[in-house]
Amino acid sequence: MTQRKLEAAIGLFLALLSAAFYWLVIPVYAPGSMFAETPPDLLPKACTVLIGALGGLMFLHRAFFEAEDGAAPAISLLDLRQMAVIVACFAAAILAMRLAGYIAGGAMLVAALMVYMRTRSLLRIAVTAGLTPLLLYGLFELLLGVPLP
Amino acid sequence: MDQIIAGFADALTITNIVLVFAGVLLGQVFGAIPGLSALTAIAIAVPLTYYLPPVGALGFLVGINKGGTVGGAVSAILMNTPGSPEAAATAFDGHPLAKQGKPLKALKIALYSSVSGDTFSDLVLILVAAPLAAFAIRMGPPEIMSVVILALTVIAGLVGLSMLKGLIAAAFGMLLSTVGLDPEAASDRFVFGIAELMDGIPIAAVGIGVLAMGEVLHQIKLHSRGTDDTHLPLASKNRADRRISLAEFRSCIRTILRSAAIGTGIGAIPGIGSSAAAFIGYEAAKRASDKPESFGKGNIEGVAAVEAANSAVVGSNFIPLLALGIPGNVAAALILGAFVVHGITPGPHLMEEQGQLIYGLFGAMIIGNICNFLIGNAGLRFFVMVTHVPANIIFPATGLLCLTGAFLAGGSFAMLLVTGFALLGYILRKLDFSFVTFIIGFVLGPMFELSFRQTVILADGELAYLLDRPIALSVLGLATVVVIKVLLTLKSRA
Repeated sequence: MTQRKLEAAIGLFLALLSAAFYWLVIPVYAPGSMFAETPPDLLPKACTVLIGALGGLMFLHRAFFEAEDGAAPAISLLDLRQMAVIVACFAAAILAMRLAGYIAGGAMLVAALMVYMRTRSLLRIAVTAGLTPLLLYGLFELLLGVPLP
Repeated sequence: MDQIIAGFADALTITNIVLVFAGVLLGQVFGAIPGLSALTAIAIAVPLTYYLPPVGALGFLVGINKGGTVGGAVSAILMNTPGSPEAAATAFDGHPLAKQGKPLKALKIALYSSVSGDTFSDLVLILVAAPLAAFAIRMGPPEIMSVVILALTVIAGLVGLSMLKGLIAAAFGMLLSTVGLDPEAASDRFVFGIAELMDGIPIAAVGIGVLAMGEVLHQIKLHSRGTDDTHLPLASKNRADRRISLAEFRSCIRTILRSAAIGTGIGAIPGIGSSAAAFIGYEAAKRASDKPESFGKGNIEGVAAVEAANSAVVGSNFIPLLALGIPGNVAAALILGAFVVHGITPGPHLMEEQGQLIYGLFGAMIIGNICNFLIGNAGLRFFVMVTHVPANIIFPATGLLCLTGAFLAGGSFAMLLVTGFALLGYILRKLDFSFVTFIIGFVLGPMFELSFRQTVILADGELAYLLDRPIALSVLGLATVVVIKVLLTLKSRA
């Protein structure tokens, strides 16, 4: 897989996704209305058609008109897998904030990300993970009176 | 004349100067924290002003508004995380400058341009508020629609290396902006039964997610090899990299004046706002530059253009507010509330009935600009210390700050949205889809749709209606010229 082929695949995917969105999603989730002079689905349809047309153009250009330079793809499955781990840390922290409160969830997030970044000093992890949510909690909840989870 | 002297004398009391100073300081701090903004600070501060004298109360609120524009640039430059939506474009050139070890230079040009733009629009407000207000009142939906179309044409000039990918990102941003209740029929669009989506996707969630968290994810992955590196190179010791020389500032004056004029014009029109002004100012500077290719790579003119434009909106927003009683944006609407609390009714008769108070307010605005300059100059040295913090501390902490900002903007649901948009931001970055045009599409989409649909109703479907709107026609003509020019220059960039 090269960058050119990846971009051609993305263009084709966008064109197909737009077609599915136009015919299957918009009629159900952005239906027309008898109370509006301009149909509510006008802008969503216009944007979808534009994305589909541009995606199709991108596919044609990359697949048939651009010369192959052999460049490696800018994103790989490994990148996506690593990203999934980081996003999972954030999702778990949000859940922890809702279940155990802001400070516990925040400390968990900071510690998890520091471990992911291979921080070796346990003291640094403990101090940063403990202080960051405490400082933010103090600023918002105590000083400004803005409630946090 | 007596009213002018008495008004400025009112503004120059110690109490008022302290209040304006406190307002500016508060605004800078709130502006610098992603997720918070001057708007949050004004909303919190309005009830506090009930017990203050009118000039002091208004000066305090205006000070917050002014400080917020400078504060927003700080995190945009140092962390690529705009403190406020209008500072998003500041990061385009500000963050690359910080990455080159010149954070102080970027912060200084942002401060100087912001204060210059703000002062320019204040002077316009003081000198020509009345005639400009008469012009602004003629700006109906067709004119606003044409201005938004002009702003949308800016997208074509910001698409990055691939026009196709830039335009796809812009259309995707516009599509996402349609989530929520339809502005005319109040029927829901793409809500999928989730009550939180009824009000649409919060701009803060998109801004924090795509710009800030997207960068945080990217950097966490980049620094996941266990080094103690800082996320930015340590600030250069070279004196030239830590200051703005007179020659550098002089080279930016034309850009600052152009952007200040753009910001002032846009601020005088209710409803468009400083984000659009910032992007238009940036694009205008790029077009006028001898080295347009250096924009986005750390050109100080890019920072100056954005900061002068978004700050100029602050002063000129008062033109429709004072002359017509129409707030130009949300901040002006909150300040209008403070006017009413103090028994002042903005409108055409305000100058004659409350002349002294209005000149007092003008005086407070000038003091606000001086305070903004002084506090900003003193604070920059402390802000730059962020560059010394190791990456494995700054990015996890920024990640938590982003989640916190998202929660403040839209509760727990916004935290999930931000995480999703962060992933989108990362993918856009990796695949070189312009996240800038994505955000512009998202910001301008609702404005365009609303003004377009209002125009359709007013015109009753007749295109000839536009022939009676010379301002709208002129702006549309200008947009057409821009499109043709962009197509000619970009035809090789598929």
